[in-house]
Amino acid sequence: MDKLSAAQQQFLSDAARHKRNIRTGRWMILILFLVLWEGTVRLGWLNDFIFSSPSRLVSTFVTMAGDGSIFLHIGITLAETLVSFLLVTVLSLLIAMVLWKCTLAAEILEPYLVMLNSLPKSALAPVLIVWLGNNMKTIIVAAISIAVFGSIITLLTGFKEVDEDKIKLILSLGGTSRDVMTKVMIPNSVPLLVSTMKVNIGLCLVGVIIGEFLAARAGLGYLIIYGSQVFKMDYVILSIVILCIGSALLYKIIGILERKFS
Amino acid sequence: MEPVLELRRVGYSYHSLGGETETLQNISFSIQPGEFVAIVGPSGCGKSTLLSLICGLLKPEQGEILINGARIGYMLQKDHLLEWRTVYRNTVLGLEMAHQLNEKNEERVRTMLATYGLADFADSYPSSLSGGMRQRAALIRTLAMEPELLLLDEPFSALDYQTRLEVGDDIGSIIRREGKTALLVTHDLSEAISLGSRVIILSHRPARIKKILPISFSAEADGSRLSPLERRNAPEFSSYFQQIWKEVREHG
Repeated sequence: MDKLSAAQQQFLSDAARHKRNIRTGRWMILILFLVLWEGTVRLGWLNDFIFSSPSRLVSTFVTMAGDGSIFLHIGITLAETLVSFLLVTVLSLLIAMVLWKCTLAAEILEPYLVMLNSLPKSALAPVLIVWLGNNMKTIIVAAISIAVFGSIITLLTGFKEVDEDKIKLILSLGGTSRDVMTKVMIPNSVPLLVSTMKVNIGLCLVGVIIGEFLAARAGLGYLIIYGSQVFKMDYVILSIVILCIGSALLYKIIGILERKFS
Repeated sequence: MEPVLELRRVGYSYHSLGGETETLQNISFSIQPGEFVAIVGPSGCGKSTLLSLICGLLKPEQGEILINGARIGYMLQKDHLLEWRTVYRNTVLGLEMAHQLNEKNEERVRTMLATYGLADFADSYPSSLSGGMRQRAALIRTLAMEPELLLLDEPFSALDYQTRLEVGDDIGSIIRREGKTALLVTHDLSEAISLGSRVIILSHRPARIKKILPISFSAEADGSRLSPLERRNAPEFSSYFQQIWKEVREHG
């Protein structure tokens, strides 16, 4: 390799420092937050019965890990989120494909889709409990209802933006409308699908937590409601912290998928 | 000889809620096997519509189009290579959809890729090709279907001027070598003269045929063929250019 010029070396070291600064800054905020939290509680400025504290969270986590209950709650929430996410992805893709094919149906249904998409879905949750019962079905349907309509609209819009000439190309080569779907529309929409998935995983988690607030006997959403009712704020805040970490991880996984496909 | 393509009094209009726009009016001509016919006309006069009609993507409202069972290959303005397929997989797209991906056809495509300088790029993605190479790949994709009639819809217009001359030269020679009948639509008069054996001049919208001009070069009298670039330097070139230019400029 050629020897790097001084200016290039300067540039590279500047870039490395910039990156280092970002990383340091991020850790600093986290550490500062934890230290302030723990410190103010220890000094008695904040009531740890209401605000909990990092050390209390750790000991709560260790106790709950000991009897395995925390993993049950995490596992249930995670499973519900993944199931609803998978169903949202498949359903919205299928429905968007059908609507793209039947323009008439798409035009007829458009105002209804927009209405369902902007409806605050948490309002549906009590209705779902009455219809479907106090169980996991309700939670999954609630999560799906939050994400699915927006996802259909986004995918359908994406399908419509596919270059007309690409469709013309397939037809001029003797392809059928099925070829248009499999050879152009779907591969062309992979980046869009992945970015929709990124939004949906977050929305599904929201839906699952709302569902668990109302209709669950386990899961992090249940733990939050239970904790607040029996005034064990350690449960509530521990659940929130786990949700923070969990949603960041799920988002990250789809981010990796995104880089792979686009 | 039986013509590969014959148009009889073809007419077509576009419809919108605002009204009807007559695009083509009373278009009649025919193309013999092995001919290279160029159609010129002002932009937006309905040249592309004409190709869509011939290709069967649109149905004529008046008149008829006789194709005599010839297989048609359509080359669009842009190459439209699919970015998620390798160059090879792009060139066999048509064969794949027709379920004709057998050893013989694959071999033929590979040979064409090699002949036209794309063998080393067969397994790369289109994004690594230059504009001219992309256009050649698109041509191979069309030729892979063994069309008897090639429709070229301004296939060079998306390229910069220098590449355009090169690619025009390239593609013109490839089509001649493969012995294909071709119908080229363009608004570039010199492109039409350098490639065509006949030039059809269309009027402003609604497009009618103003004139059909046979192109012959004295250097080709012995049956040899000048390359498109050689044609541009031939003495007759500028007089053809003047003639067509005059026709295109005159209104009505």
